[in-house]
Parts: sequence; C-alpha cells; structure tokens
Amino acid sequence: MNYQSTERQHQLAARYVLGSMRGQARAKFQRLLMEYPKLRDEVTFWEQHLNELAAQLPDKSAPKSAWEAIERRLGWRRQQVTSNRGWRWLTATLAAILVVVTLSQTLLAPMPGVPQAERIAVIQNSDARTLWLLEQREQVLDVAAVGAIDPLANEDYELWMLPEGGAPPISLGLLPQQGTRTLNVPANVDLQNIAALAVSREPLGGSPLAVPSGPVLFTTDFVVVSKT
Amino acid sequence: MSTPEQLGRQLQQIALGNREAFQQLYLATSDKLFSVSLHILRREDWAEEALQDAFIKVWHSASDYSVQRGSVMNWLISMVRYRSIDMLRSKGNQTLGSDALPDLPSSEDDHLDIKLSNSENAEQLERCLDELQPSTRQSIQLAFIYGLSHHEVSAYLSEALGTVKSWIRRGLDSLKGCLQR
Repeated sequence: MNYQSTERQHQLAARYVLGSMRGQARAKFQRLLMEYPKLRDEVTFWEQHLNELAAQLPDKSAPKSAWEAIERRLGWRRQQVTSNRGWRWLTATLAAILVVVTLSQTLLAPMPGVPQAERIAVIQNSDARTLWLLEQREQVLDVAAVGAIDPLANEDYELWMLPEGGAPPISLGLLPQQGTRTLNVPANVDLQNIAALAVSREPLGGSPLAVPSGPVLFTTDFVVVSKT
Repeated sequence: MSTPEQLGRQLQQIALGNREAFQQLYLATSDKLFSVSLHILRREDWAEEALQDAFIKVWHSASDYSVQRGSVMNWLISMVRYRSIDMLRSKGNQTLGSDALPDLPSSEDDHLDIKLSNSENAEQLERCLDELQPSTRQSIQLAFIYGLSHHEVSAYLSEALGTVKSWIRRGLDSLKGCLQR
C-alpha cells in the first residue's frame, strides 16, 4: 500500500481518528504513525476538528473509584491493609485459615522415608483449589505453582509474612505463576514469628511500597510437619 | 472548568513529576473524558477502566505533548477515545444490531446534531457539517461519538453497508475540503 499518497494518507488518518478503522488495521496504522510524519500531521488535523464533537458532550461524573485506582496503579496510594479496616479484615480471615491448615495437614501428611520440610504452607483460593505449595528450609522457601492460578500479564503475585504481634507485613518475594521458584529470605527476617502469610496482586516487580500496594487476595499459615 | 492555559501549565508540571498538578488536571477534565468514553463503551465499568488507562498514560507521557498536537483538552480526548476504541475490540467487539443500541437517540430525530459554538474550530466544524447531506453527517457522528463501526452504522440506519461506507468516505472528503477553506 502506498502510504506516501496524500489522498491515501488523508483517508486513512480520517478513518483512524473517526474510529472506523479497527483491529489489526488500527494497530498497523499506529506503527505507521511513527514512521510517516505526514500521517501524524493528517491525524492532528482531524483530531483538532473532530474532537470538538466530543468536547461538546455533556459531562458525566467519573466514579470516585477511578481516581483512587489511578493513584493505586501508580503506586502512590497507601494500601488499606495498613489501616484498621484492613487489619480487622485480616483478623477475620485468620479464622478461615484454620480450615486451610486442617486441610493441608490432611493433604500433605508426611510419607514414610521421604525427608520432609520443616514447615509447609498451602495457598488456596476461595473455592479451596490449591494455587501454591510452600516449603520452608531454614531461611529458604521453595515455592511451587500448582495450577488454577489466574495468569497476570502485567502484574505479579507477591508473598508477605504478617509477623506475630501486629507488626507491618514483610515481603518474602514474588510468587511464580508457573513452575517453581526458590525465595531466599533475608537473615534478619524471623520466619518462626509468623502469624499468617498473605498474597497480594502488585505491579510488575512487586509493591513499590514497604507494604502491599494492591489487594490482598489470599492468606494462609505455615503448618509444622513432623519429620520422619 | 480550567482554561486552556491552566491545563497547559498543569501538563508542564506533570511532565516534571508534580502529583498535585496531575490531580488538578484530573479534576478539571475527568467528567468530560468519562462521558466521552461512556458514549463509546456504553458500560460504566469499561469507561472507568479506559479513563484510568488514559490518565496513567498521561502521567507517563506528559512530556510528549506539544502545542502542535492541538489543545491539551484535545490531546486528552484523543487519548481517551483511542483507548476506548481499542477496548471495544479487546472486550469482544460484538457487532451491535440496531436493537442493541438502546442508549442512542432514534435514527429519525435530529438529536445527534450537537450544537458546536465554543471555539473557532467548533464553529468551523459546525458550518462544515451543516454542508453535508443529513445522512452523511449522521453516519460520521455515529461513528465518532458512539464508536460505531461501518457495520453498526449500517445496521442502525438500516442502510446497505456499501452505501454507508461511501457516505462516510465522501463525507470526510467534503469535510476536509470545507475545513481547509
């Protein structure tokens, strides 16, 4: 296609701004905009005129949640987890954790002759489907993603420990969305001192804050497995 | 409503990382931009998502703006519209029949003819739209304001697809000729 033709550029740019160019054609045109400054000028011409139609539409109050979400997505908003409300919610979920603990003890009873980890944890969703298995070996956590995990394209799942006594959460690292990963826990973090484990959804690379910046999705606890 | 000069200063501050200016810009423009997105996506949750995406892009690319791209409001409208149109596709882009467009004004009435009067560009556009055949003008407005595809405009107006395509193509040619006069 000859993108240099003025007539062609005019029609393509107009259809792009109008919105009637869709799908792959639209994506391709967006790439061409970077290559052909003349196309960019055509697009600007149409934007300057046609956007007046949009500018005249009556205002509609944007939901309050939109600004909060923007701040959160930019990593500016202190997560509610550190607020009283968040902590009360976490406390309430501790009761639910007991159920998981009981279940995981049943599921993961030590097999004779197999060396066992000191402590394990099972992270499950609200349907009791297992998402991750964790094994603690001193200051190392071996994590296995075991399926049913909603894949995140541009975000990460981050694991947190909630210390006994209500101190703020401490990040233990990012959870794999598939396969296994070894998390090395800093020596100054006492893994014995855990009230609960929590998983939050975070921007790629993890929370920009010292505490979770995204929603806490799952919580669980370690279970001590007796060694054979 | 902020003046174009205020919006320009806020955008300069945003490019320098000023969060307060970002919030001011949001407060001044988000209701208009939400409306623009809602007209295209027709679902509040999707329109909110498009609004969020657009403002996050504004924060990261404020320094890309230049006055050659038109007014700040114009630039923001493009940002929100293009995100909304992209979302139409990513959200499934089901072809809407005329019965699936309850929020649109009836195709017989003249309600779509939004009165433009605020700026020189708006007055010029209104004059040039008035020169078009009513059906051509309506097709262009349906596509632009409501994000309708050629197929959807054709279903909505109960006109053959080829007819609608040629109305829009020739309408845009005439419009450009008039706008450049």
